[in-house]
Amino acid sequence: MIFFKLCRDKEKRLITQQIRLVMKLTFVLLIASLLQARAATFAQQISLNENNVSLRKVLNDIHKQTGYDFIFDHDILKDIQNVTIHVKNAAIGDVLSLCFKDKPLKFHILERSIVIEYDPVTPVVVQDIIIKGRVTDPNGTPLQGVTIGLKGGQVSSVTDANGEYTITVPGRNGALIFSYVGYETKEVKINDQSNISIRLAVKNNALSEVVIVSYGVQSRANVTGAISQLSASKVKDQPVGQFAQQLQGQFAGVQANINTGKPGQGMEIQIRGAVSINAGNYPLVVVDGQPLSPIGNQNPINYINPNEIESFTILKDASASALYGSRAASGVILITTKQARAGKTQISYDGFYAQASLDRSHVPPMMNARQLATFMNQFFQDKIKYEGYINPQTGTATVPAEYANPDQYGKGTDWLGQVTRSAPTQSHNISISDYRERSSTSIVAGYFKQQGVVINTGYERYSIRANTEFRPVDGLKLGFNLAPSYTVDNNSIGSPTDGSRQIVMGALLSSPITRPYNPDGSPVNQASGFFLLALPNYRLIAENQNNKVRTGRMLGNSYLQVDLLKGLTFKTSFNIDMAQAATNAFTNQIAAAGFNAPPPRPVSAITGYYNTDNYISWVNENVLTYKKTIARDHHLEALAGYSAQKLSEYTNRSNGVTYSDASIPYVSAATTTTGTSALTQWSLLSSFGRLDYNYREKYLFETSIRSDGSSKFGSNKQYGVFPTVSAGWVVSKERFIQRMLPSISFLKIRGSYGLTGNNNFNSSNYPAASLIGNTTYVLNGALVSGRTVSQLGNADLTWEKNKQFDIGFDIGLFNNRISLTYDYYNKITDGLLYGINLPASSGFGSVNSNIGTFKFWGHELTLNTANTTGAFKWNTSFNITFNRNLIQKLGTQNLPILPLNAYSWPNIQMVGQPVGAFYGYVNQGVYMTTADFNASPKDVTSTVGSVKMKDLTKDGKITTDDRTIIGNPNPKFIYGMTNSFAYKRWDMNIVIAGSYGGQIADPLLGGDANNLDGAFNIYASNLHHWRSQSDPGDGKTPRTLAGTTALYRTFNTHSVHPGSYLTCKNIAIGYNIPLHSNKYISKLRAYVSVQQAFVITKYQGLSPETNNQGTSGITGLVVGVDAVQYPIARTISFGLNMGLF
Amino acid sequence: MKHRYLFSILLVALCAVSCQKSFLQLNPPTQLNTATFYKTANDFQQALIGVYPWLRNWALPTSWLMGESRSDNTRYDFNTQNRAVAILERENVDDWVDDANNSTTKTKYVADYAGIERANMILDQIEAAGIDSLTRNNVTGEAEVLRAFFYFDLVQFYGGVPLNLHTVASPAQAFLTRASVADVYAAIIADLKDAITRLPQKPTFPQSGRVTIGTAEMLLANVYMVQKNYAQAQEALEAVTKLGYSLNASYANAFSTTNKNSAESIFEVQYQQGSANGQYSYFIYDFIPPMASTTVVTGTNTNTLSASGGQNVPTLDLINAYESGDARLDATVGMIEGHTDANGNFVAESLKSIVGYTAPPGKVGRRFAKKYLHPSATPGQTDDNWPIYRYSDALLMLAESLNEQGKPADALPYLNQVRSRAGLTASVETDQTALRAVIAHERRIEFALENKRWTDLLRTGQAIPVMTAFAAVIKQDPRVPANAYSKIDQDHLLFPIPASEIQLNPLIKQNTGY
Repeated sequence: MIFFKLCRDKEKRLITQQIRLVMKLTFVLLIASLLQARAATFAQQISLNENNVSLRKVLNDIHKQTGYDFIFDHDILKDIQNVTIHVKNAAIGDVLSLCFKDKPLKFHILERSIVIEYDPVTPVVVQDIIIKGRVTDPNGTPLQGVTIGLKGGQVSSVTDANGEYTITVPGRNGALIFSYVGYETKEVKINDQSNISIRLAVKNNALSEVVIVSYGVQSRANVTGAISQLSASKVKDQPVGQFAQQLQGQFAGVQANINTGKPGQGMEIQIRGAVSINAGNYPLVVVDGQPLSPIGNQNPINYINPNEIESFTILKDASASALYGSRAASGVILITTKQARAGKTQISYDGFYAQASLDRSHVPPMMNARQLATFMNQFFQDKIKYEGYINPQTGTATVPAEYANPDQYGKGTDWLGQVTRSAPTQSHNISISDYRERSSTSIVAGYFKQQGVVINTGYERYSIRANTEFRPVDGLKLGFNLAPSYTVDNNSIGSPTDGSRQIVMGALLSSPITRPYNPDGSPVNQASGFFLLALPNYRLIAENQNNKVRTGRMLGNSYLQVDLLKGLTFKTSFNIDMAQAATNAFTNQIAAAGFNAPPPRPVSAITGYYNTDNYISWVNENVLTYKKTIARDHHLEALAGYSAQKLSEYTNRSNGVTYSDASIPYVSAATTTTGTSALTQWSLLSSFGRLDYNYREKYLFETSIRSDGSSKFGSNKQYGVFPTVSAGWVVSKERFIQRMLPSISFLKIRGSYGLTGNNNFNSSNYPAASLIGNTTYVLNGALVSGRTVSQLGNADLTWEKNKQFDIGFDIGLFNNRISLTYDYYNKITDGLLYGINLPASSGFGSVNSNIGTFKFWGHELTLNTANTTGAFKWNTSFNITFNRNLIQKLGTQNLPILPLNAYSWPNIQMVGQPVGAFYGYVNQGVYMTTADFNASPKDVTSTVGSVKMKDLTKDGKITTDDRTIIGNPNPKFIYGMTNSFAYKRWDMNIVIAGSYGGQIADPLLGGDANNLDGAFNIYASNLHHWRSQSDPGDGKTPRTLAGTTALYRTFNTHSVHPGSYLTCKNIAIGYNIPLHSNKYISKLRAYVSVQQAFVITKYQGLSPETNNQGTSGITGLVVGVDAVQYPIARTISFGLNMGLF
Repeated sequence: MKHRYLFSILLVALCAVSCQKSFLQLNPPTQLNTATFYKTANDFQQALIGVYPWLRNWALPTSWLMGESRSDNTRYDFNTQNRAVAILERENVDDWVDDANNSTTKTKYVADYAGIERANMILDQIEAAGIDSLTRNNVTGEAEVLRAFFYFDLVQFYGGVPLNLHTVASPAQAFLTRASVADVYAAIIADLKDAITRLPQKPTFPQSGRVTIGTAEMLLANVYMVQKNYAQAQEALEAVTKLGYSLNASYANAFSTTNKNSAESIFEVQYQQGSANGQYSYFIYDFIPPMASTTVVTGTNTNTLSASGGQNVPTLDLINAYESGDARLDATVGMIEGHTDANGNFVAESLKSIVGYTAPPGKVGRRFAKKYLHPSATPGQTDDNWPIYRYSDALLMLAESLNEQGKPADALPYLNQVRSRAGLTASVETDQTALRAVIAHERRIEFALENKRWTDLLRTGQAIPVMTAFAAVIKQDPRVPANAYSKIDQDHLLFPIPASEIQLNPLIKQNTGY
C-alpha cells in the first residue's frame, strides 16, 4: 500500500487537479486497450465483516484482499465516522460505495490504484451562520437597496441606507450574489467569512439587461428585433410635464420634437420617419400592456406623470412591434411604470421649481417703430405718386401725420414681449415602495403646475399611481394598477395662441408704433395705426382668454397570472382607460382673437360653450406562455394570445349666445342655448402568437403572427394579418471569435422582416361608412329638418400595411466599454389611408380610400462609450439617424396630391418625390426696369417693380402651372448626444439633439410679414423695396402698388428656409449632499438644470423644431411648416431627490 | 385544479370567437347611413329638405359676385386695409382678373354639384322605394326642378359641364368628361318637363318657399329664352301668368322680411333670423362699408372692420340709369353718410336717401344695397330671404319673348304692368329694336342687385359692348388696378373651371382663354 502525503491548501488543490487531469487522460486511453483485461481485474471478490471500525482499517483490508493501492490525503479521513460493513464476494466498486455512503468522500478506480477525494457536495453538518457587511459603489458611497441572495438558495436580504446588510445563511460553503440595478452583479464565495464588504462596479453596458418586449421580457442578448430601451432614471433631471420631452435626442431612429411650447402640449414623436398622409403616424403608446388611444385630438401621453415611469422601450422594426401589429406601423413605445422592489420599504420625495422665459435670440426679424414708420412713409409717398392717394383726414395728397416723421420713433413696443412673461413651474412627487413576501405596492403621488410663457396660459396635473401585486400562493399573481389623474388646462387647449393670425402671430404683426396702454394706464384697444389693418391689442386678447379644460382620467390594469404546469403560464388582463374632459369656454367682448376687429365688441358678440367628452376604452387580453429547455441547449418559448378592445366616446356640447353681459362666464347666463350630443365607437379583435427559439443563446430565431379585425374598415375588408420572422447570431459566443478577437466582448448580427398595420385614420371612427347627416331649412317660416349624405362610403376600405425589413448588429468592445448598435431598415407602406379628393362634379369632396405606396429606408447608429472609469466617470451616448422616404405610387393614376390653391399649405405629394415636398413659385426677384418687364414672362397682376417668378412652362405667362418643387422638409439626418459625468458626489448630464438638412416653410408669417399693402408690421428686410427704376431697392423686394403685391406673398422660394439646428435640450448638475445619520432623510441630492439651454440655427422663426410638424395632427400634408406656434421657452430649474426614513 | 384553469381559458376563447362578428359591426349610433335610409315616404321628404340648403351655398357670395359685381351694376369700395386673399379673390371677379385658382368662384361650382348629387340620391332610389304616388310625384318634381336649377346655373357660368345624373356609387364613377352645352340643356329641359307633370298644378298662397310648378315653368321659360326659343318661352310664361301671381303694390315691399314668399315671389332662398337654428342670412354686412359699429345702419351693433364689407356697391352707371321719379331707386340703393377717423376707418353717422344726395363738406357718402337692409334682432344675423324669381321677371320675359317674335304691341301691356308699379309712365314704343332696348333697360332697373344683370347681358349678347364701355369710364380712376378689365372678350364670358377640378380629373379640359 502506497500513501501519498500531499501538500496543503493551494498547492494541494493544484496538484490534485493535475493528477486528476492526468488520471482522466490515462483512463480514457486505458479503457480502450484494457477493456477485456478489465473484466478479469475487476472480477476480484471481497468479503468483509466489520463492526464500527475506522475506514482506514477497512481500506487496509481491501488492499490486502485485492492488491489495489489507495491514494488520498490523510486529513480527509480525520473526521470520518467509523464503518460497519458485511459483504461476501462483492465487487470492489460496490464495497467502496457502501463504505463511503453518507460520507463526504468519493473515489476513482484507476487500473490498480484508487484515488479518494473529499466530496463537498455532500453536506456534512448544516449550521446557520450570520454574515454582515457593507456594499458601496466604486467611490465608497453606500448603496441602498442592493439585493443579497444565497446562490441557489432561498434566503435574501437588502442593504440599508448605509449600505449595510445582515444575512443568515445555512453553512459556510456556497456564495452570495449581490445585485443592484445599474451595477454589475457580483458573486462572492463565503468560505467561512462572517463579514463580506464589497464594492459594486457600475454596469457600463446595456447588453446584459433585460428588456421589455411585446407581452413579456427578454434578455437583451437574445433580442432579434430593433429595440431601444431607456431607464427613466437617466432622464429624471429634466423638468418636464410630459415624458416625451425626456425622449428628445435619446434614441436612434426616434424623433421627438416640441412643435409648440404650450404647457402640457405639443410633443410629436416619429419613429423611423414614419409618415402617412392622412392616417396618424403617431407611435402606439402602451402603458403596462394597455394601448392608449387619443381623446379627440389630444395626445394621450399628457396625462402620465413622468415620475411614474420606470422605463421606456421603443419597438422599431416589424419583428419587435409585431404583436401590436395592427397599430404598430409607426412603431410602439412601451412604458413600464414603477413596481415595488424587494427590500426595505422606501419613501422618497422628488421635486423641482423652475422658471421659464422666452429665448429672445430666436424672434422673427420684424420692423421696429422707426423702420415701420419709414416704410409707411415711403408707402404713402409712392401711393401719392402712382395712385393719386388723397389722405381722407386732410383731403390733401400728403403722407399721414403718423408716418410723416419716422425719426421721432425708436424701437417702439415689443408686442411679443407684451404677450409673454417669465413663468414658474413646480413639481412634487412622493413615491413609496413596499415589498413583502406575499404582496408588494408602489405608489407615486404627483403634483405638477406649469404656467405658460404666453400670459394667461398654464397646465396643472394631480396624479396618483398605485401598483399592487398579490402572490397568495406560489405560482399565482394578482395585480392591480390604478392611476387616476386630474388635469386642468388653462387656455392651453383650443385657445388662440398657436397658428395663423392668433395671439403670437398677431403680436408679431402688431405695429410697434402703437402703445399697449394709454398714459392713464388704461389699455389701448387697437394695436395698429393709421391705414394698418385694425388689429386688436393682443395683450388684452390674451388676458381675456377663458377656456379651461378639466380632464379626469383613470388608467386601470388588473391581471391574473397563473403557472399552470412547469413552464406554462397563463395571464389574463383587463385594462380600462376612462376619461372625462369638460371644456368651459367663454368669449367676452374682448377675447375674440384671430383677425377680429379691435375690442370692445358688442354684448351680442359674447359666446360660451360647455363640452363634455366621456370616453371609456377597455382591453381584455389573454396570453398563454410556454417555456421549455430541451436537452439543455435548446431554449423554446411559445406564446399565444387573444385580445379584444373597444372604445366608446360620448360627447355633449351646449352653446350659449345672447348674454346680457360678461359677468357670469358660463352657458347658464346665456339667454339662448343650443346643444348636441353624439356617441362614437370603435372595436378591435385580435389573436396573436409568437415562437422564440435559441440554441445556447447563440443562434436565435423568432416568428410571430397577429390577425386583427377593426370595425373601422369596410365590411368585406375588416381583417388584416401581420406575420413576421427574425433571426440573430451571437457571434461572440463562438469559440473561434473569442480566441481570435478577444477585444470583442459581444457581437450579435440580426435581421427581421414582417408586416404591420395602421388603422388610425383621420380621427373618424367610421371612415368606411356612408353617412347621413342632419340638415335644416326654413319652409312656411318655420324650421324643418332634413337629411343629407355627409360622407360617401367605401366598403373596400382596409388596413394600411407596412412591409418592413431590418438588419443590424450590436457590438461590445473592451469588456463592453464601447458598445455600438447599427440598423438598416427598409419599409414599404402600402394602401395608404387617405381621403382622396374627388372631382367636385361628383357632389362630394372626398372619399376615404387606400391610395398609394410610400417607401422609407434609413440607417440608425447608437454608440455608447465609457470614456473614463474610476473616480471621474464620463459616459457618452450618441445616436444618429438617416431617414429617407419616397412616394412610389398614388392612387390609380399617380396624380399628385397638391395644394388646391396657391395660398393653402405648401406641401405636395408627388410620385418620385419625398413626402411633403414644398411646392410653389421660384422667386427671381423683381422686374427692375421696363425693359426687364417687357422682356419677361408676366402674371396677370405683374407690373414693373413687382415680383418676378420663374416661367417654368415657358409659355410667356406666370400661372399656377409655374409652381414646382422648391424644398424638402425631410432632414438629411437627425442626431442626439448625452454626456454624463460623475465625480465623487457630483454628477452632470448634458443632452443635445439636432437635425441637419431639412427645410422649413413659413407661408403663414411669410405671407403676412411680406404683405406690402401697408396692413401689418412686416419683416425688416422689406424696407428696401422697389420704388422706381432709379430707386429699385435690394432687387428682392417688390413695390407696394395696390393690386400687384399678392403674388409676392403666395408661397414661393422666398418662404423656404434652411431648417438645420442643434438644441441643447438639457444641462443638469447634481450633488449628493452628505448626511450624518439623519433620522428622517436617508439620501439627499440637489440639482440645477437648464432646459432648452441654447439653439444653434440659421432659421429666423421662433423655433426650428416646428420643422417636424405644423399644427395639430401629424400628416405628410403639413410637414415642415412653421405655423407660428407658441414659443418654446428656456427653463431653469432647481430640484431635490430625497430618500426619506 | 389545473384542469379548471384550462377549462376557463377555453371558455374565454369560445366566448371571444362566438361574439366576434357582432363585436366588429359598428355603425354610428347617432347618425344614419345610406343602407338604412331612403326607404319610407318620410325618408324621401327629409332627403328633399336636404337639397334646399345648397341654395344658400350658391347664394353667398357667388350669386351676387358673379351675377352682379361682374357686370356694370356694382363694384367694390377699395378696402385698403384688409388685403386678405379671400377679399382679393372677390375683387378679382369684379375686375375681370380671372384665375382658375380663384377659390371664391369655385364655391359656385361646388355648391351646384353638391345640390345636384343630393337630388340624384333621391331620383335614383325613389321609383323602387314603393312609396305612395303623391309623395313620389311631389318629391320627384321638386328634386328635378332643383337639379335643373343647379345645372342651369353651371351651364350659364361655365359652359358644358360634366353631366352627373346618377349617384356616385364608386370612386371611379366620379371622373366624368364635360358634356356639350346642348346636352346639359337637354337634361335641364327633360327634368323640368317631367316635373311640370308631377307637381301640384297650382301653387298655394301664401307660399311655403318650396319649389312649385311656377318655379318649374319660370325656369323652363328662362332656359328657352337663353336658347332664343321665344315661342316655347312664351308658352311657359303664359302658363306662369295663370298661376295666381301678382305684383305687390309697393316695389320695396317685395323684399320686406314681413312679406316673404308673397304673391309676387316665384322662388326665393329661405332664411330666418335667430341664431339658435343657424338659418340667418348675412348679405347686408358684405354690402355696407367696414366700420367699427354698424348701429347707425343696421340698428344693431356689429364691428365689421376686419370683415369683407363694402362690396356689391351700386355704380354711378346704374344710379344714372334710373329714370327720374322711379320709385325703385330709393328702394334699391341707400346712402351712408359719415367721416374717416384717425386710424383711417370709416365712421357712419346717418342714413340718407340716394335721391338728390350730395355730401356736405367734411363728410363722405357711401352707396349700398338698401334693398336688403331690414332690421334684425341679433347683430350680424339678418332675416332677409334671397330672391331668385319674381313675377315681374315673368312679365318682362313675356314682353321680351313677344317682342322678339315680332309682336311688340302685345308685349307692351306686360312691360307697363312693371313700369306703372314703379310709378313710371307707360311705354308706347312699338319699334321692335327700340322696344328691345326699353325692355333690357327695364330689366336692369327692376332686377338691380338681384343677380340678373350678368346673365341678361350674356343672353342678349350685350356683355362685350356694355362692359367695354363701362370699363373705359371706370378705369379712369387710378385706384382701379392696371390689369382690371383687360380681357373683355368672348372667352372670358365664361368663368374658368376651378383649377382643382382639372388637377383631380384629367378628363376635364379648361375653357379656352384660361
